[in-house]
Amino acid sequence: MMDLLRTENLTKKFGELIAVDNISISIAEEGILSIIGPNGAGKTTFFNLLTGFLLPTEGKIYLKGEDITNMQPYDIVHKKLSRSFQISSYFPEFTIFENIQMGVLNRFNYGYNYFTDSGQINDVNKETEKYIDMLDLSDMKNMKAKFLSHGDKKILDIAMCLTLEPEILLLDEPTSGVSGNERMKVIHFIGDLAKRMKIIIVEHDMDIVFSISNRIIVLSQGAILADGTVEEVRNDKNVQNAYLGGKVEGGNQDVNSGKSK
Amino acid sequence: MNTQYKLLNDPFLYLFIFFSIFPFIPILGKHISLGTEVLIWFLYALSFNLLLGYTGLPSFGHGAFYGVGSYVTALIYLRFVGNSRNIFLPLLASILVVGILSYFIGFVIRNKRGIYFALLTVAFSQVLYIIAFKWTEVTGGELGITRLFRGQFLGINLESSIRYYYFVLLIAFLGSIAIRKITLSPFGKVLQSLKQNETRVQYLGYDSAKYCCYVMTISGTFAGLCGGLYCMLYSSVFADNMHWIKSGDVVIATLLGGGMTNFYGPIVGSSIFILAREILSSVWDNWVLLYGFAFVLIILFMPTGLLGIFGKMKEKKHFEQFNNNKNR
Repeated sequence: MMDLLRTENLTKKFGELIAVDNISISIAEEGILSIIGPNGAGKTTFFNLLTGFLLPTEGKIYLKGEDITNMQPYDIVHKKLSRSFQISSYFPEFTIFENIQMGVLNRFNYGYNYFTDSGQINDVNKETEKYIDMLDLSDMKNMKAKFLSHGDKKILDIAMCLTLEPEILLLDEPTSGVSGNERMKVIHFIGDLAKRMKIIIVEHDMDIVFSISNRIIVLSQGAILADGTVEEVRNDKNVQNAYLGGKVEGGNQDVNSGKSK
Repeated sequence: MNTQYKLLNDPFLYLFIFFSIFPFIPILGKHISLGTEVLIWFLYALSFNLLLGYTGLPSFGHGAFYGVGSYVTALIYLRFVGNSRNIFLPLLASILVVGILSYFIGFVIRNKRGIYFALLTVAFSQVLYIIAFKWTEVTGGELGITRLFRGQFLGINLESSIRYYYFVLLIAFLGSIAIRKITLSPFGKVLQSLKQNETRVQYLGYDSAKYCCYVMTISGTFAGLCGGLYCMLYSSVFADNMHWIKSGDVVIATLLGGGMTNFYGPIVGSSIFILAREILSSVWDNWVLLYGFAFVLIILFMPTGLLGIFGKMKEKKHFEQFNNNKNR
């Protein structure tokens, strides 16, 4: 079986600092893969490399066997790999409807249409409504995105990725800064998505990571410290010593409180 | 019913009516070339706002496109038109040449943003200005090119200023309607999202640099046409129209009118600019001082410009509605 996503000796240096150090992994087609590690471990840099936001210093990235190492973000997105951002990324002055519509317009190839009113394209509107319903935001669809709550902004960010019908979705700290009930909303949403596509997630909250992941990769100082199932990682001596702070029982630890590099 | 409602609520309808009867208004109507210039600026400022207000690209070189449009019109007129004095070919040439030029400049600086973009547009416009100013054999240098008497446009006699006024009125409105169409189209939506969050635009699969290049082309092409119309209005062309300070005029007019948040802002701003120039300059030579002072005051108290106030009101209403929905 071909790997969905594979990296070979992926390395990124910022001057003297090695942010991502020689990472070679292959990622299977299903389930949720979590990437954890202390602040500065290279998680986000790794994401940025995978999605073409940064170019690697060395190494290769293959998506379904195709070399995507030097591709631009907008080309990679068309290869069905999509991402959300640590700080929710959306269009604040647009309504929710318009935010979602932007992705649909691209998937339907309307980007270079100069003279059709963008609100009057029926197939796009219908598809956009579909996502709005899925988000459970129908009664707020004409609200500007900047007025949304923090959790809803996170969901909007993820929903915008979905409009391109990705096969792999990379989520960068989808619950950071989201509190209480809203956090559960985001997690349920991600759980539902995992039934339809591969999800790779960077997350600080260990409760969440241990409850939803099929596989966990632990990064430390840019390199892989551990890689395995939830149980394997939880019981890994290196991981415990490095920053989980000894034996983890309920997984009630936040990586933020661990040692940084 | 719906279309009728839409038409009756369209500011363009009222602007069109106003400008159609402008030549017959007492006192004002005598200043027909001034009216023509307002119309040219109307289209010029709207085209500029595609860059600044819609895409968030701070171009300080728009005057160069305007100027090159004027020179191309003048040169084609001198070389090819002869006794027919038909201005069709010169105007068409201004559109094509400036279209290609703006595509080229847009292509070169398509990856630059913010201050780098602004400085590069200044640099390009200054290069073009110096060419126009120094290459005396072709452009007339300091003296410019004069005695460009318009005759007709494909058989339509345009010699009198009132006929030319209506000709420009038609072009300005058709052009403005086209620009408004573009702002409402999917392409226009991409431009607006570029201004808000370029990274996100790229991760939605849009090649943002290409969009910047295309919008430069569209915007520059309209500016070239405006330059051509201007040249034929005053039968002359001078290099100082291309100086970057002149490009600043359209930036200030756009900001003053509220182009950042309102489509019609540039129309208001450019009309104020031209009227201020005409009225104030007849009172006091240093009128720019007053104009500049007014600009500072307006931007200080209304950062989004004169028409920005409507956006504010709308947003407040929008927010209240949002809260009401939540509380229900």
